[in-house]
Amino acid sequence: MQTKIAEFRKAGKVTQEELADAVNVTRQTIISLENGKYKASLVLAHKIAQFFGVSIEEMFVFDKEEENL
Amino acid sequence: MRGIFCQTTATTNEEYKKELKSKNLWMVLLILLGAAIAVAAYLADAKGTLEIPSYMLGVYCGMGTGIAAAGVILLVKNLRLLGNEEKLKASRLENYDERNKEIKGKAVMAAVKVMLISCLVTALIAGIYYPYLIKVLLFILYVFLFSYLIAYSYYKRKM
Repeated sequence: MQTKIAEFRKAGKVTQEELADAVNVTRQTIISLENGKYKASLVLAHKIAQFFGVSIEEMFVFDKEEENL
Repeated sequence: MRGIFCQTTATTNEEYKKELKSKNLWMVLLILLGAAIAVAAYLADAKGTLEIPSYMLGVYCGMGTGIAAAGVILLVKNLRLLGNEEKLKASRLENYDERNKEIKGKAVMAAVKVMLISCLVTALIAGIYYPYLIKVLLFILYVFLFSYLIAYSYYKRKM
């Protein structure tokens, strides 16, 4: 699963710390999400998408083969 | 051990404060328990009322002191967190964060596997020389399996 968190964050001039604070996680979790090392839960994905005012599909790109879809 | 005892569901500092305050009561109980174990062992050793090897009395005394000391350290840590909003928030996020919870869960799973295998291997090898040991270790394994089954059926119904 790939995310567009970094793109949206840079476009909105939001720091990792600010985003982490807004969605109640640590900055390290945001870093791991941006690097693709960690897959967000549905709740966290929803919170992040809501923070940027976009849908989950716009924020998270599912790799159909990787996710066996 | 933080993965087992320090998780939180608090989403605000106020909720987290309430959780810490209730945890502090448990810390006081932990201190009392540790002190009781240490004092009982010390008195038994001083009066010689129990026929327990002095080595074991020393172990009980040390264990009690250790438990009480851990309780004091955690209590002081919690009290300091309650007095500092920034540190409180950092601690809440550290314990609430879903990635940290997953890491802790995986670490606990790995440690459980190692512990189970160690218990089994120790029971089989050391049991040759100390037959009583195999009974103790197998009892621990049965307790683990039984509590696992109970917890599994509980969460299966709950989720």
